[in-house]
Amino acid sequence: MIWAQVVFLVIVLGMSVYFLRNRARARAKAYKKLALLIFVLVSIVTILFPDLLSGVARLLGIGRGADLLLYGLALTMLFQMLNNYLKDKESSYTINQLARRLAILQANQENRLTDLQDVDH
Amino acid sequence: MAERTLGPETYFVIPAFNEGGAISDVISSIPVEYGIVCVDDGSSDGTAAEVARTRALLVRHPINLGQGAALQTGFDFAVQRPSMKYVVTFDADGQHRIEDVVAMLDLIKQTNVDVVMGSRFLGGAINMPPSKRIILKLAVKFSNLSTGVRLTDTHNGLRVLNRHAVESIHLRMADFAHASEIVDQIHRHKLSYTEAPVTIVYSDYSRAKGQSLINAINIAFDVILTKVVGT
Repeated sequence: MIWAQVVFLVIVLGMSVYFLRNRARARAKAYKKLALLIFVLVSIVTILFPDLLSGVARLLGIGRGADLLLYGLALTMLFQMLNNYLKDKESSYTINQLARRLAILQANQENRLTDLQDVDH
Repeated sequence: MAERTLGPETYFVIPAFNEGGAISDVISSIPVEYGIVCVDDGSSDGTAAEVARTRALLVRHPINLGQGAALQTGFDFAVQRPSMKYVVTFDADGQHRIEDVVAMLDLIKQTNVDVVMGSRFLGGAINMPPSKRIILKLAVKFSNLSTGVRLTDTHNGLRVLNRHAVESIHLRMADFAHASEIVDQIHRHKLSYTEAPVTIVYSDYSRAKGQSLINAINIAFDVILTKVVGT
């Protein structure tokens, strides 16, 4: 069963890197929404047929259905955390650029007088 | 053709955050043939007012953004100056020496490299705390392995860059990860570089202002993450 785990891990990590690298692209955004949709559908199915989850868990060699659920949640949370962290970095970069532009514009205005004096002599 | 150059060919770029206690002395120690751009990074202690009384050109961030962002602002501002050929990055806490800058400027003119990096491990570090030495050595190992740029001191605030380098480098990391980022961009933009020995004087003041060592973890995390998932 170890092979199933390896394949599972590789797929999850690969997907995470793909989504994080391409997070600004429309395609990755669309896949994220599809993944959410699938998540909702799977949730509904597992709520209606709880035994199904345990079956899938056994198939993957993870143990009980609750373990699989925890596993999935932990991975989702980690992905979500990284995604938010990067988004946060991006928006502070935008703010930085804005603040920098403002600072330089203001400095140019204030320094114009002294500059002219420099040029004169 | 008027051969008269309007303004200095070398500009000091000094990022300052709450450096009211030292900044005017640092600025007045700089010889008048050099221009000075001081970027006040949203200080709350009157740093901007102190700088305004000096001959330095003052650029004020409306909010605190971080040292890396302040350096980039200084670069952008210096690039606007048509006379600018070289930029010296200089710390506001008085730990760098003017004679080292003069030697580095001579070196960049002789060798025609794009960047001269100051190295306290080629030169001297007076009163450096031992724990700081260990972390800095580790940072150098990490940087040399991850960027392919070979240096003996990667986190030194004293650097001389020519105009081409200043125009090429765009720092995205606002905080203290910018030192690693500069090294990384030297590699990415294929800038030529060399090192020069400098002496860093650790006064009580600069030790108190210095980076906490634990922050090295934050920096390493950001650098690795950027490498894995891109900017």
